[in-house]
Amino acid sequence: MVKSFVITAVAACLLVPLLPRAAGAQTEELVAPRSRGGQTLEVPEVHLDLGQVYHVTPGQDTQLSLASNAPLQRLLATTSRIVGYVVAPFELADQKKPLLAGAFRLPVTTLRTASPELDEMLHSAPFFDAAGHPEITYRFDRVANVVYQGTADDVFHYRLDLVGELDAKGSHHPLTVPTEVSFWLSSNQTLNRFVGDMVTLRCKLAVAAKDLGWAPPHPSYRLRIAETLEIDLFLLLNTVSPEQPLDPQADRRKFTDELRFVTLLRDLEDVETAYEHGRSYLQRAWSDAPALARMARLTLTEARDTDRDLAFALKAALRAQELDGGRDPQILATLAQVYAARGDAASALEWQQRALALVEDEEKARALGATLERYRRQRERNTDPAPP
Amino acid sequence: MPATRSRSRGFLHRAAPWVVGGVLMSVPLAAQWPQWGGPDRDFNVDARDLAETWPQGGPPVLWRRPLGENGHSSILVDGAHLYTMTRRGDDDVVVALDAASGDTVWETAYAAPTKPGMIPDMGPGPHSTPLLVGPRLFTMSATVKLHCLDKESGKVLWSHDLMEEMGASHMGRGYGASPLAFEELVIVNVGGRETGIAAFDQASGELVWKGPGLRPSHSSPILATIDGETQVLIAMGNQRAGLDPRTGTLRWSLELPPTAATTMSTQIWVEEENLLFGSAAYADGSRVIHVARKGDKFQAEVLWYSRQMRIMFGNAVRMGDYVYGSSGDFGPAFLTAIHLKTGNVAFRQRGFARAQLLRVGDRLLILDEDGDLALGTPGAEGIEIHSRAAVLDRTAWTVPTLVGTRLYLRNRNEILALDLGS
Repeated sequence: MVKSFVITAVAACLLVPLLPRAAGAQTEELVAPRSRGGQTLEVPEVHLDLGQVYHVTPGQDTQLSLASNAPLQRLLATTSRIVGYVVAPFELADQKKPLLAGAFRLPVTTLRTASPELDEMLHSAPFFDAAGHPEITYRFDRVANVVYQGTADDVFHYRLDLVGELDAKGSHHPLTVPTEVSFWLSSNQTLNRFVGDMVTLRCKLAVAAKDLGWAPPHPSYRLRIAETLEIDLFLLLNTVSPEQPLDPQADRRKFTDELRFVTLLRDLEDVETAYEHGRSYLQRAWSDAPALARMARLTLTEARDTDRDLAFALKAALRAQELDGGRDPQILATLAQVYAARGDAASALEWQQRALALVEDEEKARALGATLERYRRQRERNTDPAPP
Repeated sequence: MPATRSRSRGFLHRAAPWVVGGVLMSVPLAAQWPQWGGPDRDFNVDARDLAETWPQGGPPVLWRRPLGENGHSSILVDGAHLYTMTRRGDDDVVVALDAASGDTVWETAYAAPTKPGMIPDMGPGPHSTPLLVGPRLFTMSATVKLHCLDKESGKVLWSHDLMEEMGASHMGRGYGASPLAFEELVIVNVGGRETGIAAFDQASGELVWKGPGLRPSHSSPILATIDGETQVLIAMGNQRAGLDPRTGTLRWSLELPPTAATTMSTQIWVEEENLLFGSAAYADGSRVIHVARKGDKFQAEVLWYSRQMRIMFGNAVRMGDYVYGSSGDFGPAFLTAIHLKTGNVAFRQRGFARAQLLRVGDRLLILDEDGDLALGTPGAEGIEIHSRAAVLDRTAWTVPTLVGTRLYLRNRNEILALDLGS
């Protein structure tokens, strides 16, 4: 049911010097922790009482790009996994302070380029040091230089500076970010993207690499890593928390547990904790066929290849099928998918055929049929497992 | 102890007149809670002797029992009996329960399978609340089947399939408006291209009149007296209108922006001010319409509109100069107070999920969808909550029913009775 939204706003480009304070001082703890599901932050009471909270919608857009243009190398890393929130006054009539506070977390390992080798470099100790400092955080508690740019079609536009603090690699930096902010009241157009009222934040800024704690290990890196990095940020936020299931019949607690699994596995790459949580959840959902099937699918789709516990996925999928008794084509197709990932094309083909036999809808039948063909080719090739 | 008139089974009790808020209906509804919204269809209850503070663990549970597989119908009270609707497989099930024990008195099931293309996320219903008039119980299914049953036996006396007969719409997620009684008629939203609203004879089921095509709506019609004239007020699509309840003749109509078509909440008529309050969520908000007689005609105009209060499927209640409701659709919900004449928001209060309200004197009973029940007194800056207890599991979307000090409430699967007495 979650749909995506298009947001406008003009970006401003600015060189923003970062002034590090005492080395080693960390502000991560000053930014609200992640929510239980991990897809937003636990908004503190003081902010909840302040005004309307808008949550970042992660995973729907390329939220941040970081570019390094050096003479011998161009590096472009992007992420869609920033989580966080802003608080706006209930009444937008207060045009002096359209935003009141906010906080964000960016898991460093989700910043990725097109190259695994470059990713490894980026996440290594001389650069972001993902192992030692898994997240970059930013929080602001006031805005400055607010310029109201007008309203068109129920969209309110502002240009302002977020005045806050950045924490990267253990260093705390005051950081003022010139930002274009737009408030989108829910309309028939915005409903094409998502439900609820929305806010968009856009900014472009240039940051000295050393101010992010980067210390390339060898002088030769001068030709590969630029001294100034260009950051382009786009955030979509809305009044609906990403942990709010839009299906009224959905069990909120289960939905949150599944989100938590995904967050640990995909965003934080804490594989051990993810599966520990996953196994605990499977026990609690042991009578819930759709939930078990979802966990099997999430393992295949959200984990990196090296992090997929296929035994875990098979256990969940088999139990789901046992409970369902062969009535739900989606559960059958999930079991087929797990077998395919394990390299067992024959079993994948068998279960996929059973799923296809149950489907009447033409479009669904076409999709299942295409996957069936892929499994057939896999069996004929008898090669590596088909991708999920 | 509950008030005496809620408990007796005797003929004398049942025959005791219940003239509702002035002369709106010439056939009095004798039951204590005969329809959607209670005696006056406005969620106002005249109840006394409610305890302000509850024991730890919540008010005493008089009884609790399972109730079918689904449904959001409110609970009617008629002396010793309760009536509501639930779901079992492809059937709607109308149930009569013993008010003292919750035991089943009778059940009547009729086929009401979902239609192709219906969106299942709200459940198959039934969403509508029955209507009790004298010896007859009128029910509406999510697929717009109108039934009349004998309230003593549950026997079906007559029925209409309004989708087949009048092109009614289930609106995707199932029809949700509740029928309305006027004299010998039962009036229902139809929402068809040719027939927007219709009235049937209560006794025979014969069609008496039908109004012109209107867009379908979950917002239940209400009766109102506007400058001496009784009208049925409807909120259907983006149209707001008053009709003659005897003939279906349009007396006035106002077209609102298309965003107003998402309304589900029941309107509030303030007779002494000629003001009509309505609210919708999604892209709309709340507005007050002033309706007044001009000679033989009626004129309607919007007095104010505000997006600061957006009621989704919940109800609104009026207390003095303010309207209270749970504002919010998919995001956080705030208990909101808005001034009837100006549209200024007095306060927004966190702490509850999307909620239904009952006004009980100068206090509010709040039941949110997570099953939290609370009693509070609204003030200038918020509602002072006196007591709060978790009484139901999610999803508790049904407005509770209060008769005397006994509160009847339900979610999709369970129904219970609480003692709120002091």
